[in-house]
Amino acid sequence: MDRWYWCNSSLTSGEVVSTTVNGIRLYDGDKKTGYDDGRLTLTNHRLLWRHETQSSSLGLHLSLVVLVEEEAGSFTSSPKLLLHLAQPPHSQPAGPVAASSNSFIKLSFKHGGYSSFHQVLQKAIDNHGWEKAPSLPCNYGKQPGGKAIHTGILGIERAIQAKQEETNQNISHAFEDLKNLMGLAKDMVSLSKSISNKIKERSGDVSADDTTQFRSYLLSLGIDDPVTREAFGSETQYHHNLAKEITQALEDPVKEAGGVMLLSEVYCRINRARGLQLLSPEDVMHACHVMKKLGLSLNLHTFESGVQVVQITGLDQEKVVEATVEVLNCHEVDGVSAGDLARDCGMPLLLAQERLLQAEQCAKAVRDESSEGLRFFPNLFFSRS
Amino acid sequence: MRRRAGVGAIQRQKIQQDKFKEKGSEIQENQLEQMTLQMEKFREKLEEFAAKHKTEIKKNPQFRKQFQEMCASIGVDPLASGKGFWCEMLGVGDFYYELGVQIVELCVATSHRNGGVISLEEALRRLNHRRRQDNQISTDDLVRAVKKLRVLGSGMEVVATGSSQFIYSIPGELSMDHTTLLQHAENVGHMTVSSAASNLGWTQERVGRTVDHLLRIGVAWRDDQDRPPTYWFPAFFQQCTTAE
Repeated sequence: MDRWYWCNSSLTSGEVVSTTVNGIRLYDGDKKTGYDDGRLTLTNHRLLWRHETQSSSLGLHLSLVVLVEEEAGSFTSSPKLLLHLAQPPHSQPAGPVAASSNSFIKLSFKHGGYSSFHQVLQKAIDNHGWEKAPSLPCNYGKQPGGKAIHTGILGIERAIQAKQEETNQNISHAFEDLKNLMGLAKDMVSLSKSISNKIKERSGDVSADDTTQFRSYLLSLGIDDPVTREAFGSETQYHHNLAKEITQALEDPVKEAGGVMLLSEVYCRINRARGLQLLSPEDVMHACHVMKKLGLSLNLHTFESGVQVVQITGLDQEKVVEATVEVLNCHEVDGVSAGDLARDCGMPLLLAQERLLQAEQCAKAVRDESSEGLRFFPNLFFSRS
Repeated sequence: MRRRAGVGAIQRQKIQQDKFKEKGSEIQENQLEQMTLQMEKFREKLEEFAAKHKTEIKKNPQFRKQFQEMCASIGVDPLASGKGFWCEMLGVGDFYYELGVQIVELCVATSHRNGGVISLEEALRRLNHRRRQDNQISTDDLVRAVKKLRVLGSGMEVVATGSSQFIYSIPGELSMDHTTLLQHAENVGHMTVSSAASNLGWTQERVGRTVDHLLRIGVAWRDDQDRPPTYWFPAFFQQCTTAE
């Protein structure tokens, strides 16, 4: 108990608080002291104990701690940490007890938390923060003077647990911050709802500028507002610019792919090309939707099945159908399945499927559905009748 | 104000309404100003948050999930646009959109084998294989990324059949019958028309029709060497081998 000394709670330079815990009683050896129900603060240099009614704290330098042991609690007693201490230096300031026969103290954790505190304490001791040489958490058996040697599996486990503890603390801070952030966002969502209602009720009175600004806010926050969406569409200037960017980047690849490319492939390619600041699938879709309006050289086409492709503007649908029929004519006997067409012409399966269905719709092809699969044949009923 | 009949009353009412409208438009202008101010404040807060916790989002799937759930609960979609605050400052977008690209590529690469149906576990395994240990993705991440891809029109969605989940990349809806049959197939691995009919309580014709469609789109394979022919489902092969 004589290793504790009076001090104030201010931190010295380079000293950083690690953790605090409440409900701590100090024991001199095995004897209870009157220092009960205090707040124990661990820094990288010392342990500080303070009762809320007092202004000054008791300090214990970590360099004096030789070994830390755990004592599990029972019905009658709280769990404790046992700290074996070295002799105090002569230069130590005055403390509550001038001399003590015990060279160990105990910290009793009335409210629990002793195990995690042990981890943090051990880490702080290992770190030798007071020597201003921040070393790695695992100093296996390097310290002289009989400090706890962290060799073996136990040492490794302790180090891992200490790291986890630190991560957990980071996460709980993160969650706190996240909650605060979400509170703020929630306010803005309700504000945006009321503005949107105003727009709905007084359409025509709201200036175009205001609406544009409002819609860009919605985009920034990621709020989907059905009212403005129905009235103005989802496309903003941002999407117009994206449309131009996509056209520029992908016009040649689309040409090489035969003039048509699946929207999902467009999404992959443009994001691969960008590398950073990727586009969301919705961004890509909205951007492609406005291509036609902007009169760009690529535009979006949606098939009946819902498949979307980006194709060269002015792609002559007639020509496409003719090309498909050509392939069919080459396989009059067996017919052509989507897989066959995909393989022969080097196009994705979905696209091949759509081409065949398209040809069928133009009455240039007929289908044969069987358990062998779906195959298409040239429409000889028309061409030969 | 008591309402009374008569032209005078009507006129008064109209004046009153006009005044309210004026006030309303004032309030609305103020609201927009207010929103502008709040947006600025929010932007700052978000920057602070990002400075402290951006890496947490990248490295911790739990935290990511929590973040997404909180956004959803207040009606905000952080992944709606790459231009949104969330993406610009927190970088959540890059994480999920990149994952989306990888999923699309994976589905295209494996569709010749499984017809466009891949189990979530297999997808997770393959995608995590390529990633660093501290950069692994969770099931939740995968599901969210696929949800976003749906809008591209290639029919990408996550479907739960039985005890597991699958990523479908088949456009055009699959009916209840198809998914029920797939569920059954997942349990047994392979089946004949009659075995399925008796297990599901369907007519043979109904089973035949359903399995034919699955055959056509490549999700089912048929072994004609067997009498009667048996149907196999490559998407579930992994399950079967691990089950044994």
